[in-house]
Amino acid sequence: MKPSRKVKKRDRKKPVSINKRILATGAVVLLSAVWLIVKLIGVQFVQAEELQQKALSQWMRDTALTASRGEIVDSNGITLAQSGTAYKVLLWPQNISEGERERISSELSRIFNLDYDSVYEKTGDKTKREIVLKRQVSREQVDEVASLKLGNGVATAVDTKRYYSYGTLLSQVLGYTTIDSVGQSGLELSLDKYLSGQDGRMITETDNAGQSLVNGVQEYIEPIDGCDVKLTVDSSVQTVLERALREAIVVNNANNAQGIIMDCTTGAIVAISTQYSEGELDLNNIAEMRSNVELLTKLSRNRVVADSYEPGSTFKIITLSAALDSNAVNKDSYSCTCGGASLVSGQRIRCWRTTGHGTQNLTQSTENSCNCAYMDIALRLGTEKLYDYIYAFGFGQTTESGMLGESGGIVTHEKYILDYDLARIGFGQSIAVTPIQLATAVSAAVNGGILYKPYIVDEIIADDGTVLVDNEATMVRRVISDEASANVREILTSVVDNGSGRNAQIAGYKVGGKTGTAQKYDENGVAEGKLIASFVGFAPADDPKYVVLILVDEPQVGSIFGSTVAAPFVREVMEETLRHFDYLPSWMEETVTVPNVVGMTTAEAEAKLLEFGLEAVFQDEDVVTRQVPAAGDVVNTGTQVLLYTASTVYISDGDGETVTVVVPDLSGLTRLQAYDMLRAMGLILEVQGIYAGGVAISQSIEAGTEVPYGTTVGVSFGTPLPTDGAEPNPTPTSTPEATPALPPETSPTPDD
Amino acid sequence: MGKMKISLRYLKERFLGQGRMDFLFFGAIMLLCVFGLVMVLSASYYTCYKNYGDGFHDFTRQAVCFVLGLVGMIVVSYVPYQLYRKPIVCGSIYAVTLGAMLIAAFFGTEVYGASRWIQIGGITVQPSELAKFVLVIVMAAYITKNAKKISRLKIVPLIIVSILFGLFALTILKQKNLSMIIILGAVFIIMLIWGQFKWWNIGMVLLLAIAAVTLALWMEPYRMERMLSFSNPWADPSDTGYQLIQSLFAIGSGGLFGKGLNFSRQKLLYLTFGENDFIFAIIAEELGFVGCLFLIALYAFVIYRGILIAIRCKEKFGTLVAGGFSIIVGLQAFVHMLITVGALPTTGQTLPFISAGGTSLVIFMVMMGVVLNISRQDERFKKVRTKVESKIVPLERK
Repeated sequence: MKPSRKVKKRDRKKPVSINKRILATGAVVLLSAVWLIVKLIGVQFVQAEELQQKALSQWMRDTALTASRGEIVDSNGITLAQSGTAYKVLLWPQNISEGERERISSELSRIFNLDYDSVYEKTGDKTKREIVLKRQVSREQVDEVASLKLGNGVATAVDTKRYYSYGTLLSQVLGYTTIDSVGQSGLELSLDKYLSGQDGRMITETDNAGQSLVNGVQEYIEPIDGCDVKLTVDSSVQTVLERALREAIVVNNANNAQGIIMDCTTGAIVAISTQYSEGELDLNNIAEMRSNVELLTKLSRNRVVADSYEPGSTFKIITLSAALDSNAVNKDSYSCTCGGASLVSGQRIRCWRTTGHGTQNLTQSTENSCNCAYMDIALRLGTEKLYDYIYAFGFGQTTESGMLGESGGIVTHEKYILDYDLARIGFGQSIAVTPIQLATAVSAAVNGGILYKPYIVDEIIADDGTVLVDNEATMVRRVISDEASANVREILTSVVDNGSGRNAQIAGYKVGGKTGTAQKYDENGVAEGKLIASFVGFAPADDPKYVVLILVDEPQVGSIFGSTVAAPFVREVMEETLRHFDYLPSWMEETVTVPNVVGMTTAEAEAKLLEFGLEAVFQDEDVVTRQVPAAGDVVNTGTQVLLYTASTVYISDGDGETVTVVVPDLSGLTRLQAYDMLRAMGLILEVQGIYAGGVAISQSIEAGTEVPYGTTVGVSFGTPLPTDGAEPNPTPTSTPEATPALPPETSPTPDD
Repeated sequence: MGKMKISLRYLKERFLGQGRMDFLFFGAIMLLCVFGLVMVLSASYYTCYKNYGDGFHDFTRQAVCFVLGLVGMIVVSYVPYQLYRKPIVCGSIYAVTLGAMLIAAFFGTEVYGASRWIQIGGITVQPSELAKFVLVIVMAAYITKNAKKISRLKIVPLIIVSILFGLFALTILKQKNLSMIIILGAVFIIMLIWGQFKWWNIGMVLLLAIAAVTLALWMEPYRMERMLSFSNPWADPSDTGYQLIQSLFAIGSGGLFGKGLNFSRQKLLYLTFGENDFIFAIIAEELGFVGCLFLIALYAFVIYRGILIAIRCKEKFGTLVAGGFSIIVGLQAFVHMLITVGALPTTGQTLPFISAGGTSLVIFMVMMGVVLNISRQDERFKKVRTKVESKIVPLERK
């Protein structure tokens, strides 16, 4: 045990105090364990709830789920507005390195047509985690961005965009949304609470990088899509109306044109539009249009409901209705003599025809649109009575059509009305109405006397199919008796049949209507040379269904009357509307011989052609230099006659030179074949010599010669075999189409 | 040293012939290590999967190091600890460690702005982890040898041990490993106390330390701010307070029983360094208060058992080494845990045996190997003496 003694000896060197100190140190360390446990209790139990709450908010990512905005459809269910998927481009500047910055900036500014410097600045803004560079970009652009492999700093995400099937159709009524699909104007704004739906949420558990966890808890609140809105508008008829209004602007060189088509038996608006000479409101290009706010505001204005005007003679319908209903005048016994002006309370008020209309009965007065007669009728009615009717017809208050920005018009309070004011109101002056008010009132006057509330929203259908709003014809009140209404219809039909409304006649249909030409006012009173020509028509006249009102604002043509400026377009619109809704013409189309209109002004030519049941088509207001088909041609009524004027720009685009054609080789063709071939090229066949059958043997102008459009080509027919020596039979043809009478005027004048 | 007959038989008896180790201590360490492996896998899987595409990246390394550490621990447990007392052995260990640390400080791999690692082949080693181990051994050896000088109030031993510590501290300062200096400093002072240095000596050292810390903070006030951010992490939740807040979220949402193993939310990239510097927070989140108590108890048991081994050791050197190592484990474990609950300034401090980090694991296990060897030499375990025991004597006698 010697060695162990040695060990023990060394052991003695170890003082006991070391153990004590070690124990003490250990105790201190273990005491810290107690401290730790106390702290742990504090964190895990006392503060736990607060900490968990905070932690939870960082673990969960709350994503908004955008509800799809409802569709707007027309009466046939054709989609006018819908929301679809677009994309947005995001920048994550923190992921963009300095080296990539220049390339990314230049590529992105190129693709999205943005300013390079501003993109460059955004890519370097490290203080932001995410910057939305561009919204509502197309799939193609997104694909291009992806193909460039711009790295982690450029991302794309889904965005929504409002698409309008026909960008310009019904655009003022539909309105547009902000970039975030919040209604900003029109129905998009007024029906926003229905259309917008309710956004949903998705709460996802994610890691700190934002990636959702595989088995993470998800809370999903489904978005409720917006309701669909069905309008009373028929997009086909709307198209017709808009086209006619644009045409009216171009033809009449007008400032703007407004139109409304109403179902007078219900008050449903079938079409409504305001067209401006400055252009159209294209809902698919709102982003670009926002750069010119003034123009956007103007083009967005639906003047049919928003702006009142002095209606002029169209208002006589109201006076007439009031007079007939109240028996203030008798339809059969009324008589009035017009001397060109009337003296009312010392004021001389002129009739539009300063030479006067002579003695007329009620129907004639209306046909002539005689102001004197209507002053007389208004005075017979008296202020109180006329005003009762004016208010009963809905003037002076909005129609509550549901369209935004409706104006109530201006009806001066009756206590300020003097006799001459009353007389003026009788023929539509000293009162301001909106086109929709007038159309609504006229509907009541002709539909049997019942005023319906106009409406444009037919149904609002929730996402689940529930019909939330189902508008139907809402009768406001009976304004005039059925009998009075029948008389009004009769008189107004006569206006179209025989009077100032002739331009609104439609072959095969009975139409009633009234013209109107109104003054415009500015700060100095009556604005010289600024007029509003209008026409309100209804059809079928004996059982009216549609009322069409068209206003042409500030037309700049020679003679301005509702009958020449607005009526032809009402006719056009009405005819297509009736056809669209399957109203069959009550008599078949007739054929007419085209009259000669060369040398007339386009307006005159148009009126003349209309008399013949033909339609004039022209570009500019000027003297007609040529017409196609030519005078003497027999065509169906309703055929369009193309009018060329001196200022017509020809397709050849030379310095004012006319259109020329190359004369074809006619040899060997029969007369009919030759006629068809020449007609197709705009040339005119003239049979030379005596026609006795056979084929063309010679022509007055050699084949291959360039001649102006419309040149007459003389052709002799006969047997082509010269060896035969047989003379052509001298039998004259009686076929009317083959030998059109060609007045010399149809020959072209090649110079301007 | 007399002539020795070194035969295989002799070596076998000399090494394997020692007593049995403290199996409770060994078992507790194993439990900690296995617990650590499980937690490293749980805490690191998501981050590793994200970063390397391999969720087992950190776990695999940890597992390999665990095997290395286990082998090292068992081998070392057979090496008589008296070996380290020899000036030539502890001197060269000290020199090699200091050299490696200097290499790391000046030529090492830089990670997170600190140069602490050296790369040998494909393995990255952090030599400063060795410093604790070496400082304890060197100081224990010196104190044992110079006990008389120390008791005679000579200033020389204090200067010498201070130099030993100072060289390490300066190198680590260069490596910007503040938490390591603090642990090292604590170990140094504890060793001074245990080594029966006079109280005024210790007081002087403490004063010096306080002065140095004050100076450092005064020179770089942002450190102060950073150091003190733990008292109110919400003042700057996105920067200085971020980690502590995330740690508190993890612990606070753990509750009594935790979310269950693998169900931590904070490890999903919210809490950074969740697999090492903040692994306790993840443990608290997944296993709750109960799991924490279990872990704390386990550490307390290791410390208790380690101190028991130290006290039972009849030799001063063995006592100091076993006590020092056990205290290091306890100190570092509780500092780590106290940091995660916001009781101490937020400095990177690994949890012994548990945190991911191969060097730390291997060194801690080897340290425990030494303690186990000390336990083997406990007389009470040597109830059955083998015949060859007498053969040990020549070596002991020197």
